[in-house]
Amino acid sequence: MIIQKDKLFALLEKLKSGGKRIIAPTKRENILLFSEIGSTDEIIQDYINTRLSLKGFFLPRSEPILEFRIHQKNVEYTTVLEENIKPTVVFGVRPCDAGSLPIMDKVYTWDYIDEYWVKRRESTIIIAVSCLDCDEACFCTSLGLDPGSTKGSDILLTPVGNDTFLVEIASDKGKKLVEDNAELFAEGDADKDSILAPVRQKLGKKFDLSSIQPWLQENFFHKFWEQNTLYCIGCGVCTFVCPTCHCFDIVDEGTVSGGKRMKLWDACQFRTFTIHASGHNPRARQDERHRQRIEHKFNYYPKKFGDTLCVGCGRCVRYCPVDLSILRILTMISQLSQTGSQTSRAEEK
Amino acid sequence: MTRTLYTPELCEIIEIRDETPDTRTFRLRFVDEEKQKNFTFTPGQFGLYSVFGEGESTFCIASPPTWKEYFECCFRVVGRVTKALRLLDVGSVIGFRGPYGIGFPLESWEGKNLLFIAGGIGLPPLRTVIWTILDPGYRQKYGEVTVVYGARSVSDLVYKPELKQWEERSDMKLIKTVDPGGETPDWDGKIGFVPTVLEEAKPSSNNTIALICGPPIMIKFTLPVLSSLGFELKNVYTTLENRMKCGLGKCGRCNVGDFYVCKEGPVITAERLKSLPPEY
Repeated sequence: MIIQKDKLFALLEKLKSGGKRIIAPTKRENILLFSEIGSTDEIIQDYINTRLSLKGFFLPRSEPILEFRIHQKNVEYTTVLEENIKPTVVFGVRPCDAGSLPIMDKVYTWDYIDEYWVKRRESTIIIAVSCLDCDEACFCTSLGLDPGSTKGSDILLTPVGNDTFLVEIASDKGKKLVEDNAELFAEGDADKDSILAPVRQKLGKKFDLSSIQPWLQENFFHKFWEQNTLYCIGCGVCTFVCPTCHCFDIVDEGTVSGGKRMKLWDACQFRTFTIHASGHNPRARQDERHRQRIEHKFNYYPKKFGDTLCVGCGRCVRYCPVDLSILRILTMISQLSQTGSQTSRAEEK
Repeated sequence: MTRTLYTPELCEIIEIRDETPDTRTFRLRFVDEEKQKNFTFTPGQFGLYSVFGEGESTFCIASPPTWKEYFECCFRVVGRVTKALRLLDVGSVIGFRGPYGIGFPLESWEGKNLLFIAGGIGLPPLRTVIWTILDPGYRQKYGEVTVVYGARSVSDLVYKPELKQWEERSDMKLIKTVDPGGETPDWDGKIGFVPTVLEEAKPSSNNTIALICGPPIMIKFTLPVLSSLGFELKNVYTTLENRMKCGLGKCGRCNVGDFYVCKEGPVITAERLKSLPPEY
């Protein structure tokens, strides 16, 4: 199945007039970001990826979860939930970002269900677009993903030239969307593999993922961390641009007469993230905090949830102000695992 | 009303006791009577207590589940939320979410002796267990009960009236101590650090579970003493203090390695703890 660009944009306009919020890559103050569009004219189509992932549409940078009013000793409060959820279509999602969503579903649904995440996932349709180009920070293929993978998408479009997209239905939601708008789609096919071959070749395989977790499990105390990550300045930008970093804070904002309880992005790279009330800090040094980020993504999360907590979007590589590239760290670990260099707990402590 | 996993319940403060100059106990009751009636938990579980407008803070539930009319928490005034808690009077309401986490496996300890070792404000997480097993319905299920409790000074001991009650009981033994220099002229307990006092008391490790809670430095020096007394690490339990925000395994803050303290803890054996990175 295929769809022409004008038909695709007509579909988005139709969904928009039907009451859905349409999110797409746009230029805002010359920065490429996912944002709500007023018209399809605003959609940018020539891009590697947006500066921020689409995480913020499921886990907003800040959102109220409770509102309260205080009258002397009494408190009244209401939970804020439904008003935070808007039926949404996100267009132009890259397969790496789409792939982050099912990975994150696991932490938000194990045992306790985070309704904010789950309801937004239910009310959002993901229309992803395969990548025909990448930059030197991209490394999805090293993580088992692909510039044309459908993981996490409802529909995947692959540009096949002449303003035409190959259409792949990747979920029931995607199927329904196509069925409901069948008149906009047409019969047709294209050789996706040959279209993606050049970008796949450019991406290559930058490290051996299977070597990372075993090395991390054995080398928590390796001098590698101090030598290679102590220069992190702890700005946390890697976690904010990351599609899979999901740590948050819960903070009250208000006055003596009332206010809101907010859920806010937080970052394991901040000193205050783990500091105890007593002043003791389990991760007191920046290299310990950086190690936590790598261990969480490539050791703890896979152990707990069966998925690597990284999709190779490359944002943290692009935007780190001190060039502490996770790609370089992982490549080094992959190389170290072959040479077998270890420092034991006993030697280190 | 819409509720989510982050929505607290309201609890009224029905009694306030000052334990030490900077540590306070709140006796709390759910505003909703049904909630109070149905509130059950395992000793060792924790909750998130909130002052609306200031935020949430994590403390253990310090009273035993056998007390049905109310529950208690004990906190030291150190941060934004605890400073705000301190300003509240009897009759004020606070938020509460919980119980969360996994408590002590009391049932698996039936027939065993229990040795409690606490330092300073480390007593509240163990007090919930102590009062549970002292309950007439539970006491005969366990063997000897010994409590070793110390603080920096006499004024830093929490639950002083209860220490007196425990001393007077014939079905348990209390050894209380204060650090050298922390004694008062009328102090009738021991003078010495907890690990030293424990070493002198030589409690038997035979068929005994040890529960230890206190400042990291006390735990660090007590564990070798327990080993020398013959305690195996799998029979030594403690409870972790990692900072938390959600308490539900979502916010990514309290993990020690792949151990989520809020979900798999806070109670942990010394054996498991030894297998984790030292990030606690």
